[in-house]
Amino acid sequence: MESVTDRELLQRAQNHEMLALAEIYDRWSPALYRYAMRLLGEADLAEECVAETFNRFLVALKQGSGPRDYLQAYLYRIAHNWITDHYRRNTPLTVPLDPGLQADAEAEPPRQVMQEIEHQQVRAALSYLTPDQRQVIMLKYVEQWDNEAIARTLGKPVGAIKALQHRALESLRQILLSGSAGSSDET
Amino acid sequence: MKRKEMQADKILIDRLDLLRTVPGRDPQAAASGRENFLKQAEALGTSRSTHPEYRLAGLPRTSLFALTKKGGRPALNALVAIFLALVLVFGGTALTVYAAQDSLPSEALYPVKTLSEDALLSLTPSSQARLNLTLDFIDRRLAEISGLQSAGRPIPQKVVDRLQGELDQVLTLTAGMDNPAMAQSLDEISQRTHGQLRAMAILVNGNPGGPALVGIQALLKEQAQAVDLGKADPQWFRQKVHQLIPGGNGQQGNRSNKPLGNQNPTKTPETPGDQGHGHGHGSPEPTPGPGKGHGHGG
Repeated sequence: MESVTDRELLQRAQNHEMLALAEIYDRWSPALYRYAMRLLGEADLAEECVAETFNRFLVALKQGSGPRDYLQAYLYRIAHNWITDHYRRNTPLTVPLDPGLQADAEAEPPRQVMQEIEHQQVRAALSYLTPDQRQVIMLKYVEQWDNEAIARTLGKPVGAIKALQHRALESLRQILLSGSAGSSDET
Repeated sequence: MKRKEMQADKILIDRLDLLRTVPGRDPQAAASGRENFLKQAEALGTSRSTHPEYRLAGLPRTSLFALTKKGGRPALNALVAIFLALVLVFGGTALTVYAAQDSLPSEALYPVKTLSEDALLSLTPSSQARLNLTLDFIDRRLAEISGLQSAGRPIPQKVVDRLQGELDQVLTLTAGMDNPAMAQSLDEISQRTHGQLRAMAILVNGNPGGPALVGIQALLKEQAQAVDLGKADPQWFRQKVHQLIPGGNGQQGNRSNKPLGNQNPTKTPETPGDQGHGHGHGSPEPTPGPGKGHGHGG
């Protein structure tokens, strides 16, 4: 999974080569930004998450406690921890689950607004999962990683990842579809 | 039931798929994030790259890594070696001292680290070497603060006090130099301090509301202001340092309660560029840090 060049890059970063550090930033910050954006929904927060992730990476390098390999897994873990802390610091998002709650059925909201509401619903539902469940769901179904890469990121065996996926989907089903799944099935 | 669950999962996965679409990243924010990261990397560690892009003329060549890692500053390494040799000669445990170099303030070996620093300083005869050493120790303090912060541990007052003592010592040592040496040192200190301020800004941004961090940032801002004032008026700088920081001569100073960076030179600068260097004596207003905003965006 991890290419040799990633490992070399990490070794050079451990020797504090600026070029290697710049390459690491260029390689991973766009994906980390998208990951943070998907979970946080705000550009400023996503930028903050990316900045803090790389800040912690630098501090870890300086202290000699940085990753020895699998840099991608390491960076995603830091970003995810930051997002989890952010969730903890802030009031949980609310889930406007019932689409029938629209004030005026005739006034069709713009497509973008609807899309944003849907995004918020999914994010809010994810915020109710445990941090591990949330990360598994994100990495598996949104980032589309394979189970081995997810296992490395969470530091758990693949079997445990599969079990987490199962439980996370079950929880999500209850949170997101408890009101509307039935009607979706029946129509 | 199983089939129904599978259908539900399909709906769920489709809904999760919605999250895949995210608005594009603002290129300016992305560029600024990259720049901050590189500045922080530069401020926190010595780059060994030979690429000209990273020979940042205007940026400090601080050496946190050099202090703790192999291949660091040769002069400092030599001093550490001498110190270790002396410790060995006198029957101490060099390994303990070596191991202590990476310790954080809340750890058992930290007093060994600070003692070894004090010993190194007292073994260093030239002012210039002491100044360089003290600048490196300031980097160390900031690295410790950053380490404590990322570990979620509180910042002990003794670390802040030691940092303040070291900042004062830098000013005292500089004030004791002749004019050409002082000008050169002030340039070096200015570069290092601005790099440290950038690193602190990132730390503060990541931990808004942390009073200790804000206090440390204020100390560094003060230092930067004092140095800038010194560059503008060396004579005034010398006088003020001797007035405000008692116990100079290389001993760690004990700054009086009036910050040097907030003092105006007795000879008020008249050029527009000099305006805004601090406030007059006794001004009750907080220091806005004229011209030195670090834009804690985000």
